[in-house]
Amino acid sequence: MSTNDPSQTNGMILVVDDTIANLRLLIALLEAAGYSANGAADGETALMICENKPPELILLDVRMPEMDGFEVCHRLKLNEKTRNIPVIFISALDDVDDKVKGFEVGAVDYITKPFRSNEVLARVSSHISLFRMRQEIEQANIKLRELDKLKSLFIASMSHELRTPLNSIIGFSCILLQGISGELSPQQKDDVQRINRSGKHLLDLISEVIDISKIEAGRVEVSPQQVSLQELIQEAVDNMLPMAKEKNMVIKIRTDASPQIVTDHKYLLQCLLNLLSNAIKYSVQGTVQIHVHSENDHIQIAVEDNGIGISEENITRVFDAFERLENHIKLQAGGTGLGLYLTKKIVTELLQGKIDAKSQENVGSTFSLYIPHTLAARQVDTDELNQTESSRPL
Amino acid sequence: MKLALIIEDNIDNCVLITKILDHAGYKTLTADRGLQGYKLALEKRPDFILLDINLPDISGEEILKKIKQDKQIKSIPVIVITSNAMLGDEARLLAAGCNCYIEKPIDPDKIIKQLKAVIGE
Repeated sequence: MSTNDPSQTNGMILVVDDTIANLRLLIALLEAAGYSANGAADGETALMICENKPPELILLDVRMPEMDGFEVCHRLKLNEKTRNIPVIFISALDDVDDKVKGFEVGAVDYITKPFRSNEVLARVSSHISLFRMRQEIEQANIKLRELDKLKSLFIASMSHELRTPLNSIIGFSCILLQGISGELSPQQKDDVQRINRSGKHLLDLISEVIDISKIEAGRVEVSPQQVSLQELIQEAVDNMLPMAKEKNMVIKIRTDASPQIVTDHKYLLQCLLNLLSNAIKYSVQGTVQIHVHSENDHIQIAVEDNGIGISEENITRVFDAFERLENHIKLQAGGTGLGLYLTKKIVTELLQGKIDAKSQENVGSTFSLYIPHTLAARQVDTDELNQTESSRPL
Repeated sequence: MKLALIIEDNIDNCVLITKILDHAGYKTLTADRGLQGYKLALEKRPDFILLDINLPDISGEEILKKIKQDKQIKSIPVIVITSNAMLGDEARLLAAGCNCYIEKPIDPDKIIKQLKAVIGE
């Protein structure tokens, strides 16, 4: 019944009505307004047409023998290919319940018979332009996501390149400091120490940028395994003891549970190390406590310090990138400004958990990890990652 | 004096490792390509090998496998050096026969301690 080439018209519309006279009337009306219109006299035919050649809009009669309009609409919404086509019901039924049901099964609009032509055309035109806008936005979104991934992959590979010369800077300043290339004067030693320290700081930054961009590109593989929480915490504490001792600080572990959980050992350890190192960095002295609570489906690991704390207005920003607050101790602490941002990414995007912070200025802070007892395995595409990894000369 | 073979394509890293080993009292031999390193290992029979994982001709992992599958030299300890700490790398390299795994940046103190442990000094 279509007479015009759809690409030359205002849009392609499918009219579904079991009364042939109505069908003809509506098609004529739409074609006169510049649309290309197809007709179907029953639900099955309508579904078939939608499957083969999806229209941009459907005008759908409610009362039809065999399959009624609600059922047709319901089936359209179940099919990935047809679910986004806007449906307008046209029906003599003007019971409010029917209208509500129409919207419930997924229609965008409802016109009651007898209808006025200009009302039908006005509604059709507005829904077609909405549909087109929606499609444009969806396409743009898909493209943006792709571009975002590419950006993250680019950052990840570039950061790797940055690491090579940095290894030389750190390595050679290290052998200078150890006197391997001859003794240094105290002044020279101080200078080289600054080079070495800055190099390490830059390396930390780069490593964190690599981690963040890999997670953002969806290129990180988690491997859930049985983890003894007690051993993991002990491992983290052992790692941090030298740093704590330097500041005369003590790390205490208080657990009311030491469960076995299924999670990614490496990433949970990384998060815990980060929280512990923050707790030590941002304290002048005192104790860092680790509390473990087991709940129904998750465990809470809280790291509590009695350090400088964070004010109420700043606490919401601690998980943002580069949000170190202007403060003497914080500046001396020398973090990268990416630690908590990365930790939150790991916890939420890789470990399927949550993180929060409570704090009071000059009293201390508590950062809590909420980790599910069992981390579900996740399929990730590692091919591209391996490509970028191996194509990188070092 | 024990002999070390360093297989590393990055000249700066190569100089760095040579200096550290030299200072610790080892003789050194260097190769900047994987296959060249493998041939040198067969010819000179070093006491241990330091192997970079990213090489331009053949990957360090392949060279590691070649060394560990060669009856004549498979007993030579191999210490793999890498800056790409990827999940699963360590397990894979250990399975391929590497005796120790060191991440860049190289810490002079640490590398000497680790290699002494590997060669039993």
